[in-house]
Amino acid sequence: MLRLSNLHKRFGQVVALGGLSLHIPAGCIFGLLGPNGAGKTTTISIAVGLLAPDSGEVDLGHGGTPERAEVRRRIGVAPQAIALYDDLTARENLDFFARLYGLSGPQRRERADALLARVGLSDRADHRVKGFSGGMKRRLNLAAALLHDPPIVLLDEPTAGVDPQSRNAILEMARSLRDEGRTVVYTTHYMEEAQRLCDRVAIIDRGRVLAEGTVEQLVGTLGGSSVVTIQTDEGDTRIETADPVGELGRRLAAPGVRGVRVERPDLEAVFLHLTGRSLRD
Amino acid sequence: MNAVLAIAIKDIRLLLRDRMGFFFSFFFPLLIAVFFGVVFRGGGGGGGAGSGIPVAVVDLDNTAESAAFAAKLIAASELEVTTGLSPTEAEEAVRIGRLRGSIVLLPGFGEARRRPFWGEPMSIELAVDPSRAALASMLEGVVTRHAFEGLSEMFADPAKMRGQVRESMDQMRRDGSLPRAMRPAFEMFFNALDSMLQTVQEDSAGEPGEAADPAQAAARAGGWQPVRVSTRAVSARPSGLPTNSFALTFPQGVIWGMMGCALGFAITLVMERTRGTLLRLRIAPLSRMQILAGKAVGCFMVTASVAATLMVIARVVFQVQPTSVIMLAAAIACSSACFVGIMMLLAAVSRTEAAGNGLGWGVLLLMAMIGGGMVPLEFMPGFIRTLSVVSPIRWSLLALEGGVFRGFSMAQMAAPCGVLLGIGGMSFAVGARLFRPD
Repeated sequence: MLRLSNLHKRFGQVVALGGLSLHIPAGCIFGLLGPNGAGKTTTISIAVGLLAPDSGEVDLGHGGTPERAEVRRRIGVAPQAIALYDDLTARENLDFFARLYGLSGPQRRERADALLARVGLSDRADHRVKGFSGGMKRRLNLAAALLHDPPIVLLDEPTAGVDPQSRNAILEMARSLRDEGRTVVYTTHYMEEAQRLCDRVAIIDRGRVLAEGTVEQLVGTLGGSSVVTIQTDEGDTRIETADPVGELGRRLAAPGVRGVRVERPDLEAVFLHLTGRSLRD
Repeated sequence: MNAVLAIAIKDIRLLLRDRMGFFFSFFFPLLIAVFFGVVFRGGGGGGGAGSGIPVAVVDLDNTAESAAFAAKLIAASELEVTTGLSPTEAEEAVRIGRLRGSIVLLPGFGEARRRPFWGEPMSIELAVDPSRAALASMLEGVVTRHAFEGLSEMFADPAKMRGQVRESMDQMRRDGSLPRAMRPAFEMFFNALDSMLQTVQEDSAGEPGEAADPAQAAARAGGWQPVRVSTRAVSARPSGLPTNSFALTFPQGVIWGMMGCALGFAITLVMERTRGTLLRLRIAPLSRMQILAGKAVGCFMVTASVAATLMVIARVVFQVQPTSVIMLAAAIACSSACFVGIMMLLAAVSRTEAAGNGLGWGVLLLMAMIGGGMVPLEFMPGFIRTLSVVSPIRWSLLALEGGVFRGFSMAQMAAPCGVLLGIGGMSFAVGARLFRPD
């Protein structure tokens, strides 16, 4: 469980967070969806104690605040910037970070080997990171967050700038972390990632939570109508409807139908509805 | 502690893999030490044509003549004279490097000055560091020149002087402007002088085999040697073993190595911040001080190891025998601690790697310039020597030389080590306070 209450943070005149509150239940993938500059990374930074909020509280479970070292042991973070040493090998990087958490020699070797296998880098374990592709670095960056087996994992834009293969691997890994019972906080500005992966999503813009719920709830309540397009000899007919299945049933019975297309609303539509802007703006 | 060591070991590993950084931290200082050691080989590595050599003048004669001579030395532009010391204090000042030499006017100086043509000559004793042979020669030259002022070297060469007397007599005889009444008086004076010089010359030539040595001849001429300058070594080497130029250049090489290490670690700390790895360290269950301590321990280990390795090379390859390994170890440890503090301060004020490089070299080179890390301080003008007290390079060099050839005792080593630890501690405290991790 992770609770953020009424967080405020300013950088000079810029308001990064303006009273942001979230309750992230244990054992789910919780998406923080918002455009660049929405306050996602600031939220993560405050949650793990890298930044102090101007006001507000962070509770990492059992009243634990991130200022306490033993509480930070419960968190694993894959930062947006790749935080690895280029001149160390993949294994040396993991060994070093594991030492910081006090793992013994055999534990470090065991964890490093297991995680290298998990992110598909066993064959590159003894290669220096500076020779890795962006996707490989991202995967290793994620592995480094898991060395100490944390129950809460924060992934800050973990797929930024990676190839589709690495992206799929990272998404799959996030799911498996959830399946292991961990709480995964996943920030992204890719709507399709959040929709595909997250159990719950909070849409953030300008330092505030605009909406929060499951993808279905958000889309159902804020996404607007589905669009059913019926293709006939006379041309295409676009019908906005809240009941696309029923609409299809009625329209397909009519003669001359050559094809149909159904467009369901998505999180992009939810964001557009809430802000009047596209996520990619 | 395990995490602190982990950070230190990681940084050492990274430094060893950075070929350029390793070159400037180890091979470049070694090159400097070897190059200048070879250049100054045979010259003792010190001394030269500098001005304002810091010396003590000790007057044991306490006569008007000795006081006048001391005043002459004080006014000499080549010297920067300290007075009021006893011979022992002056010698000690030379031993610990505060002064480059002491000039002692021995008893009987004034009496000898009053009767320069016979009897014992004016006796002056120089006490100098034997490792600075060139400087010793220069000092001897300066003192001798001032002692001979008013006399002439021709007093040591009767034959040459007789020629000049005869020439003067011929000129006098040809000079029509000289009043006739004065001629007999001058004739009588020149004849008497020529006669005396002839006697001295014949006496000098009377002992075969020795006349070939002008110094011996002059000495045998008794009163014709008006001054005797003897040089005594104030050895900083209790063992008495000879030192060499590498004993001087390797401490300087060590200083350059330490500067390279300090700057290298300052840059790695800046890089941790700019490249995001510091963020991961901060998320880990470590305190801010543990992170900085890890950096400090790594920097200390590398700096001390580079210094120790250079001194081992100096010992094994270049026969530099430290006067005290313990004192040298103390000097290395204190210097390394000082450079750790400087590293921290540089890292704190550098926002980017480029800024760190530029600022770091600028600051370190300035400190080296005024601290004797580039040109020995005895070649520097007085105000630079005065200014040098603010440079840790000066104190580090003094401490290292104290262990290598000055033979510092524990009490003598305490001063430079105390200054180094003070500078290091303050720099680290200020740097740690200023360091912004984000």
